[in-house]
Amino acid sequence: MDAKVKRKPGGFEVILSKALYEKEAVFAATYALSGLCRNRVEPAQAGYVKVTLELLDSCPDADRARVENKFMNELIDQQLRLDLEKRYGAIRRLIVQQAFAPLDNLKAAVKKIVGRD
Amino acid sequence: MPFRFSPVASNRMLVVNEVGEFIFLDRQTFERLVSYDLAPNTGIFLDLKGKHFVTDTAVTPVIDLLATKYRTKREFLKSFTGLHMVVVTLRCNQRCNYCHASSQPTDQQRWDMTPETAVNVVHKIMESPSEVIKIEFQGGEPLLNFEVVKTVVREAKRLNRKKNKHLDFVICTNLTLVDAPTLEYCKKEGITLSTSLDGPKEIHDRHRLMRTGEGSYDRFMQNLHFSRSILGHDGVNPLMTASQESLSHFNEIVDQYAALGFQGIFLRHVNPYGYAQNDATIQSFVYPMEDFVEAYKKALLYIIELNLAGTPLVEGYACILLSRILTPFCTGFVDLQSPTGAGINGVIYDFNGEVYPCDEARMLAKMGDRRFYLGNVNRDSYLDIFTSPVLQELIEVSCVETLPGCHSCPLQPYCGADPVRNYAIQGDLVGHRPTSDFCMKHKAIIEFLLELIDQDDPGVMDVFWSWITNRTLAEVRGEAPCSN
Amino acid sequence: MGVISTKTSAWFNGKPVIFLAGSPDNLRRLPFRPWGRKNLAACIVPAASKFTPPPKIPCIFDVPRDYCADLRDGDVVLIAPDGRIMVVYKAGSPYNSILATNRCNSLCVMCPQPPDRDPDDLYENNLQLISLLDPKTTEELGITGGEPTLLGEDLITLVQTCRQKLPNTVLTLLTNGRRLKDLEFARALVKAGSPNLLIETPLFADNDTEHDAVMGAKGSFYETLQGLHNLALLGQPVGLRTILHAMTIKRLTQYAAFIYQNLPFVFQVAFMGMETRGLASKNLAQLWVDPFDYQDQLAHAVRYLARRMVPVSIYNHQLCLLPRELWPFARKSITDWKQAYPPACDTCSQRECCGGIFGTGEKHSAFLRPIS
Repeated sequence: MDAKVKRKPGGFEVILSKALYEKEAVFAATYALSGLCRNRVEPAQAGYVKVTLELLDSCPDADRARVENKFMNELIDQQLRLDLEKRYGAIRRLIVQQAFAPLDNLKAAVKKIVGRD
Repeated sequence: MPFRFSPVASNRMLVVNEVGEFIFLDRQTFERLVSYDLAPNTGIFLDLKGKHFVTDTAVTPVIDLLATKYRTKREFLKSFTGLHMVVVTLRCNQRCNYCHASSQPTDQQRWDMTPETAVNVVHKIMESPSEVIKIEFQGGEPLLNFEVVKTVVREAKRLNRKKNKHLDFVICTNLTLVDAPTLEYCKKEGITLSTSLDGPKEIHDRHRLMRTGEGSYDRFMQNLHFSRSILGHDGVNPLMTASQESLSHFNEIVDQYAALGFQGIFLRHVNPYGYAQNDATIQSFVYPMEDFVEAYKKALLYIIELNLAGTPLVEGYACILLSRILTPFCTGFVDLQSPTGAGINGVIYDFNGEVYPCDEARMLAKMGDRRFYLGNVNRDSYLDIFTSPVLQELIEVSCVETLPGCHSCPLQPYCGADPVRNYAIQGDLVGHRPTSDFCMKHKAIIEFLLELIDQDDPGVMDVFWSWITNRTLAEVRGEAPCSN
Repeated sequence: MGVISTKTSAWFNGKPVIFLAGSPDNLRRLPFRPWGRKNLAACIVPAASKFTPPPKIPCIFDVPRDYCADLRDGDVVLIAPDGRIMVVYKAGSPYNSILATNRCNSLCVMCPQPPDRDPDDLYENNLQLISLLDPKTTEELGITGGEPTLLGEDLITLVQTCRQKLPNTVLTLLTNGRRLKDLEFARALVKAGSPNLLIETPLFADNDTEHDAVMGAKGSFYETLQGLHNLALLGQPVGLRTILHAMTIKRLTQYAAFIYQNLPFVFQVAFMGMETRGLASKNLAQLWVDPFDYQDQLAHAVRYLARRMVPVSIYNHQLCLLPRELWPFARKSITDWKQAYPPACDTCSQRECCGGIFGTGEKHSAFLRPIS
């Protein structure tokens, strides 16, 4: 099981596999929900991390039912953003560099990052 | 190629590249995109390729094109501090209850800028490397210290004989004190007036009160016509502030602006600065940002209809965002920029010569928190002020590329940061996006505009472009007789 | 090669003159007999004329009378060794151009004039042609191909020559811009043509896959883009054009969007109807879309650019095949000698505003009809 959800009164607890979700994604997802919940991230059994989300009193009723879903979707989105950033972050930095201080040999720089030009 | 994404209300994925080109994809297509499952000769792949989200062939030229576009988008970085706000007095003959300018009674001249300070202010302004300089007189009510306004204008024009910059002057006035000599002077010197009009009488007079307690509307209207008769129809431009009561009357406010023949309206929410959050008066005009956004959306659609029915009226806020979204050019807007416009593109000089990156920072100082004080024109050099560590810090914490919640947000190319506001409301410069109403407002309105653009209704698009390019609908549509 | 002339003034500027003999009026207009003049290059003698040729003057006899009637003062004609007469410049026409070369580095799928080898004297003839033109009346002159930039340094010289001999003439160079990816070459070209040079470049898609397929040249899309950016950097005005057919029509708005985002500096985008001649005729099955059927796509793309203040022109389209909202964008663009009006146009109220059809084209829309 990569993500096990346990409902609790006023919130829920999720056990996440570190193999699937990286620390940055877990933190980013809990950050995104920090307007609605009080969150805690802590280590669980080896290879897993536990996230506890307790709904804030100020959390609107309409959101209460959806928080769990929202969190899981957010988590996947954040992990995907992280994956894309890993793959393309270097290109992004290259674009900015080329914009303000053009490289002598852009082709070579691209080849080094992408493997082709 | 790099891009950012986020699900939107229509249950689709919004995908935006580094320079703000965007596309909406249904979930399935998005998943195929990120799992490299789109065939290179399909229409959707080519659409993505044309917008530089993907490439199956050359990479280097694509990076070069993106870099060129990125540079164009950031051109505002070249024009350092173009907007200079000068608070010539804190005195005001009005006592608007949502005013955050810490206005003072009209008889207390110690709140006036002195001519000596004014001259020092002008010298600092004219040292700015920007080719275009706009000097905005604020208050209080600047007309109460008009001699200093004149001093600034005279001194700036004198110095500009050597500097040759493009120089603009604007006086922000409630109009209640204008008289013929003042207006004749403005006309002669090429000064325009910026004023405040919140809506029809009932709405306007609810908050915009004279110091004596009565409403200011009637006098305002009388003087608006008088001012126009001397300065010309477009010599006076109004700003509105939306209080709680206005939210349900946006259409009437819009109608009034249209009836008065103004070119545009800027639907602006009230700023909750300058008050203790539990202040009793604040309750009379604040509202949750969600309510503003809903009212804004409805009003925007109404304004579009009005335009299509033949009444040209620009909504200023949408116009700025649309320019960011739809054009490859850069759009300066001090309140929404990355890095922040405060201090970089705009700066404010208080009556006593103190310099702050923006009005909110000045207000904080009035309330005892001098966190953003940059220096004083009477004591410090231009370099001391504009390379102050405060300013550097502001820039560092206002690049959306690095802010939590912003760094992977697809709306980043259209948005900006306001660290002073973050500090004022949330207590630190970086701020907390999930609970920020600034973030909530911009997200909601930008996504709303993106959806409207995506619907591609010819009428709506014609109106949007008439705003962006400052043309009539007929011009946008290229309507002209056969000229062959 | 020489200039057709019946006026006195032409005999004193030293340029070779070709005299339209056998029309007694022409002779009467001159206060002298031209036969002894050094710059008399040749005579053209209409059919059935009683003209007796003076000795030692090359004459072309039996030229059809209606052909002669078309020749006007200022026209430049080239007389081939075999006696064929070619008009290489028509005075007063806005469509004159110099064919710089027949060679090309691309092979566009709809090319009306497929690449060919050049005659040996093409370049010299072009230089001579330029020297024969009247700088006062030559307002516009095109330089076309083939691909003119294949001339390399010779193109620079050609443009310089135009600039020197015709300082006020607006030159329009038609090039695919691939070679202009070389910044130094682009710089030399811009310098030679400045300030009256316009460059028009074909661009067919918003991506290399489709553009390269139309151009028949892999890698050409990014070369052209690099060339265009070089020209923008040099402050050179550039216009873009695309030809509408099955391979370009489907994603026309995306094409427009690409231009606005990446090439917002262009002074014009021209959407051109296809001349069904040459390769276009050969590949017709693959390319043909009746203009009647692509009105929506064209209208959408045109409005897309017009909203964004990118000037748009529609070339080679008949008004009866365009929605009325597009009429202001339509230009009478078909070269006079190719222009034709089928019988349907006889009763059309808009005939004067309309550019007609390509008389040289093989296939035309099935929906041509008079507008009342």
